[in-house]
Amino acid sequence: MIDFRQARLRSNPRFRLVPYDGLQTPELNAFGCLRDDPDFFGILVPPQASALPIKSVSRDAALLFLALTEPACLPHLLTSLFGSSANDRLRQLVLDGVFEVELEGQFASGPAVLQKLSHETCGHPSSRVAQLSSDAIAYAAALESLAVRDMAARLYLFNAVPSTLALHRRFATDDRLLSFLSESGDTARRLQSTWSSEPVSESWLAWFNAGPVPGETYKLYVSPMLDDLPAVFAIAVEAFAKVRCSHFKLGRGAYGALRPDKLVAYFARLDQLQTAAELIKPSARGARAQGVPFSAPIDPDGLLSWGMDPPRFEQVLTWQQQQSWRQWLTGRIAVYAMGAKEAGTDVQAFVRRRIALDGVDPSDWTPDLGIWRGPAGAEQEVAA
Amino acid sequence: MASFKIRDLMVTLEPGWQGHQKLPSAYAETLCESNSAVQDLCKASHYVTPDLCKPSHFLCKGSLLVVNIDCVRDQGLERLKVQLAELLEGEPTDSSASKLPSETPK
Repeated sequence: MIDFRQARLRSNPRFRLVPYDGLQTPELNAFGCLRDDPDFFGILVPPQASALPIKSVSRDAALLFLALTEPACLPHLLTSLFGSSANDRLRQLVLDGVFEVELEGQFASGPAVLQKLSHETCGHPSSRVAQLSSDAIAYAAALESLAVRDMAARLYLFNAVPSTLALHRRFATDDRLLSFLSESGDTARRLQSTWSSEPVSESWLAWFNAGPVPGETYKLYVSPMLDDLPAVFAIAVEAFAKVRCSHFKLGRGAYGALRPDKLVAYFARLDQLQTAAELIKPSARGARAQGVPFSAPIDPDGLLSWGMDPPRFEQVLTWQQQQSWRQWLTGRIAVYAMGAKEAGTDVQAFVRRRIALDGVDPSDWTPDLGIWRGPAGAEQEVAA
Repeated sequence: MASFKIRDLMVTLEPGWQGHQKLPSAYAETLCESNSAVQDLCKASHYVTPDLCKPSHFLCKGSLLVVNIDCVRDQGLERLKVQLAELLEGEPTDSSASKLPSETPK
């Protein structure tokens, strides 16, 4: 394996580093808000023919990029910037094409050098949900002429059931959706006695039994097919109350009821989530699962799965600061898939190995419990 | 270490994109209204060229095969119909008679 501290590196000459003061009006309009971050230096513009997104760059990242404008071996600077994780971080940055490493006399980077930088094998899908995730990546790989964010949106929505006019009419209001969920009125009474409800956005209806609880990182996805939603919803609401889940949410309207992640509960601790899942599992046996791609499975069919929301991101646009687990994951996958497509390499293999370096097991999409203390959430260390 | 940050911008869509008006469009397309053919058509849909549409974007609903064609770009839908027709041993699709109104919210 390459020791990047001893290797000759250079900045990718096809990327253009633009300091904030050098931004033109359209870029200022798009990225001007980033100047409020005291660490922000400017943007890194990918090669002109590339559909990869523009990157924001901190002062330390700009320092390394400028220091490697000419090829150099910089062990002291790399250790100073990354400590003991220098090799892992450089492997990511080289695979992402930001920096190049000298291999057999030539500088190379990006997905094309995957085999030389990562010998780990990534297992095949180990569950139905993992297979759905694999199908979603294959689908993204087949899409043409899409921006990365549109590809990310399609990955996010993969395995949503198509809607119909009749379903739109059926779930046109929250009251109609709730009547569908509680025909006998039992679940409605339980909701009213234990929870307070409110629409939290155009997309979600949420129930709370306490004020906001900090650090609700863990989320349980409950994903029955629409016909089984009322029965599973009743079971889940009872389980959420037993484990003192602070809040959960349900997709609104027909689109909300048909999306795979239609019912989501939040927990401060993973063991609470697991207890809730154990309560739901036996009672919901027989319910047909829809399955949430890019979540970690709990049962074989994918009725229950989980994820871990990231911390608040810095040095990104305002609406990117707070992302959900699947938003973050599908965004990363879209970037990696686009990079692999442009390099003409195996999209599935590159996405899997690259996301593994971020701390996600690509055989079942389970996050490393320390993922947000690693590079993917590094700025959290500053905030803590 | 924490001050070394390189972040991809514009990777996620702006807030509200999950809202009803901004969801990527989903359309229903009746490919065949004959009950007897629908099950065959549903089975056939799983063998359509993967670059057109994934099986998980098909759903059999009564006598309809509903296709989420959000994943089908450009002339993909026409190619999809041709492929499905060929899979059904050349059974023609009558596109003029078969279209349902768009289900995209106006």
